[in-house]
Amino acid sequence: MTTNHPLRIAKHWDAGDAGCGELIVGAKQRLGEVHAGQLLEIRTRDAGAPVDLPAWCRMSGHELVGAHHPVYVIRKVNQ
Amino acid sequence: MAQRKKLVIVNSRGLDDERSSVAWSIANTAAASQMDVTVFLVAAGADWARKGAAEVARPNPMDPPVAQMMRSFLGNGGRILVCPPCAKVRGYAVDALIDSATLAGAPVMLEEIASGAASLSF
Repeated sequence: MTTNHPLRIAKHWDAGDAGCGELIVGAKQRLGEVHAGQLLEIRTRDAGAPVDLPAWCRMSGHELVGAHHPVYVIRKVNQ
Repeated sequence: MAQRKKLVIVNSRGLDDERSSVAWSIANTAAASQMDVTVFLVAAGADWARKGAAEVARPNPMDPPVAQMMRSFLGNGGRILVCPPCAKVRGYAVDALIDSATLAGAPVMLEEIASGAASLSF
């Protein structure tokens, strides 16, 4: 079940318990499957996600549009 | 004033390994030397963040007690991160960890390195 999000989500990923490297590699893979400007919604139970996903977005240049654990929305930014 | 140097120490050694005492000793020294230090606890190293664990483990009796080094480290501005999968496989939820430890994975640690931190691994 997705959140009632005002933005149009291009792709949803239920990451389950994936965390640390598995979460990040999975996010990168799925962002590779959408176009620049489109949104990826990630649902994760990982306890580190509240700090890990923002850190990864800062490093990778993708925009963290929303972060309300366990749901995160990332906009793909053209690299 | 010169910019403070940054250091990341990855510690995978647990309560029975003398090398973890070396890691904490170096972390403690760096934090007391005007460095911004992050200790990233992974694998068996995650045990150090379990409440009460550091109080009963002293893998090198010639070093200060690790609990003492951890308190000094934190008092000098050190930061402790605990890898979430490593904590989870040990059955540690956030309430099993010391208050000063943060569940955070590779991205947070890597961001420090990407911004110029040196790194040591144990």
